[in-house]
Amino acid sequence: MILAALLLVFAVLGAIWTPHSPDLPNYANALKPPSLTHLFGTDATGRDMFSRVMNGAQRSVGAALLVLGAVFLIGLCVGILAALAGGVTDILLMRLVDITMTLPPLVLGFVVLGLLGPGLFNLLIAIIIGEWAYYARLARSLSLDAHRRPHVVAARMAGIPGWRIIWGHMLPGVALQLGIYATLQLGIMISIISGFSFLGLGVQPPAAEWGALLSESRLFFPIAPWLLIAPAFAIFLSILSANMLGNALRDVASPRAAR
Amino acid sequence: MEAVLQCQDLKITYPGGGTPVQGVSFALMPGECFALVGGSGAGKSTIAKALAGLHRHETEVSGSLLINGRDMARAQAGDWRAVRGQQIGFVAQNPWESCDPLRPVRDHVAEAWRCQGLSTTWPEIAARLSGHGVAEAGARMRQHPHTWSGGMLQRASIAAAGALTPPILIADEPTSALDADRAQSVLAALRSLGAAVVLISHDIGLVLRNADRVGVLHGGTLVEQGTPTALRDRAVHPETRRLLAALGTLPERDSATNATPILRIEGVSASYDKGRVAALTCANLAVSSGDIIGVQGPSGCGKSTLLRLAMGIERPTSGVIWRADMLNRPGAILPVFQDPVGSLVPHWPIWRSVVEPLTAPRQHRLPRDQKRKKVAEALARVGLAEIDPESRPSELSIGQCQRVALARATISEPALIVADEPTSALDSPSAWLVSRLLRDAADRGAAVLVVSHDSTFLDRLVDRVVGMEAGRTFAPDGMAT
Repeated sequence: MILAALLLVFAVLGAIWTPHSPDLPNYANALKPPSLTHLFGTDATGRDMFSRVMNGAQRSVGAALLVLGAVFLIGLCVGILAALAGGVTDILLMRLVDITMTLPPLVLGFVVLGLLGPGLFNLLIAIIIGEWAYYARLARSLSLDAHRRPHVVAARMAGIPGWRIIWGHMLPGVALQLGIYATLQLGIMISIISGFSFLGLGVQPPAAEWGALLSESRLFFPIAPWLLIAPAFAIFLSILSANMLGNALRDVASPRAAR
Repeated sequence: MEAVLQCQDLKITYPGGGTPVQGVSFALMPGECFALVGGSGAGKSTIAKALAGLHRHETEVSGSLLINGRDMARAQAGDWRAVRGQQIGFVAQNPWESCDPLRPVRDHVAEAWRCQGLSTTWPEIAARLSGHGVAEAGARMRQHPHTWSGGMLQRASIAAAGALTPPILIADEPTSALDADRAQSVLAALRSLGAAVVLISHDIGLVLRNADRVGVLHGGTLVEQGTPTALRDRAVHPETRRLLAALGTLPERDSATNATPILRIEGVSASYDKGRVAALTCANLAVSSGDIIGVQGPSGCGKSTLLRLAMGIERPTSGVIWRADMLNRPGAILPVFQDPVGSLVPHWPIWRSVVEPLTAPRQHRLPRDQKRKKVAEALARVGLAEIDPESRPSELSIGQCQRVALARATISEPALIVADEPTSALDSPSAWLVSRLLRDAADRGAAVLVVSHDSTFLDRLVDRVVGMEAGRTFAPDGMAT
């Protein structure tokens, strides 16, 4: 939890302040090893690597949070609608989910980026198109389960309107479980965004992003290995903290099971 | 004669530091049935698991646990594997959960030999099952567990536990999923093995009828032990007296205060899976205000389907369900469920769950302080006046959760309360309290329709019992209703 909070602070701080300019080249300082002035050294154009990792956090973590927020909301709405409406609506929505899930995410990403062109925004759209279906399927299953719970049946028998049952009885539980799944996916999402940026399909230079930083640094690995270590370690820490956050949330969600 | 199992100052410590059991000492003589009885959270199942070495490996067992003279308190998993089956048999609470659902019942029994590296034959298994009263065992043992009744499958579990004729059997609530007749026959099957039995149960009545000696657990400590007669006549500890008080009856009452039915179910049939599975066949039932009607029958006979039809949340495939006008307003029929914790919204304080029926749109809108007052009255009525209304269900015991559920079911004075196995998760005192609360609701004019396999509970509570078998209802004298 603390690690995740620190990462978030790091990402927010990186968006408004960095010790050096993350984008301004300084060729006199090129490929300097780590020192007190440049904690992670400098890259081939003399930019401070610590500042670029800091500045890149907003794109890596921020973009992952944005994608997860979007697929969470789409999945939640589609899942609850399918579960409660049933019948033709359920069948149509779930067949759409099936079709989306049959498309390999990587291929789908390449196709969408091929059609729309590379860039962070288009990358986010590509990931959302590939991911929403998994959340919708899970939300539907959780909603069906919640709808059968005794407290929901009791509320229906008491004459509580459907919207209040959804809002008060079902949504908090379904959203919490879906949120835990999303949190556990945060690390994977960061690695997907970094992966596409590494291939040059996501964030475009000179903007900093952890995957893009890895891509820029790989050519200099034999003479400046620190350039790879800094963004790789940032990705590692972010995935670790996201998984730990997911586990902590799961314990909060089921206090009896955690006892 | 030397004890086959002896505990001396047994203490169980969880990895977090909690000690659910401490200072437990008792001796089990050959062929004896020693029962451990207590309320929810008394430490019964924790002891049962420790006696069979089934506790989590992080859990620390200290003191002395002698099994045929060998101290197993600090035994490793490998040592326990050698003892289980040969020295100790274990019968779990839920027979369906004890069996692999993908394999036939005979494999479940054969596993007792296989896990010890021994071989057996199918005729041997069929003979063992027949010996425990399973009819047509040779053919039936090829079926999968879900096709067996709870009582029959529990007999198969007993056959498996006693396969290698161990001198000790640990039975953890072996009859809690069964109705009274089946419970009695399953216990007879358990005793017929001739082994010494540690019987774990929350049902003091069953224990007094069947055990040679009884130990009363409270807060993880054995507070009193003795013969059933001694305990019944000379109980000293308040917990023993509390458990014995649950055997008491309710005051006599005039049944059927109003002869005009408010709900009539006539010739109703219902099915699942697009008509392939018949759940009810020509079921009949009439309920009047103030009536308390019990529905009793084996698992899968259609009791819960009948309740759901009465509640109006399922539709029949044929037949007539007639409800008086008073039942057609929202909130006129309120349910009480088997799962007390799941009955309450987990993220709400309990006052919000209790007051919910009063917040339905067609109810008269009450100001906030009036709602709080009503909740306090409802909680006081179920004996929870001292509890903080801001508590979450996870902070309450299972018995307290069921009382909160009853407070919710009665707060808006419904015309019909429908209760589905309301005591199956409760200990004897909590079950007694639930029967008293349902009786109170009936005395205030509500009709109560209750499904239960607990004969003691039904005998104490209901005005009349409707029996069910294979989807059909019948009166206790055997005449179809």
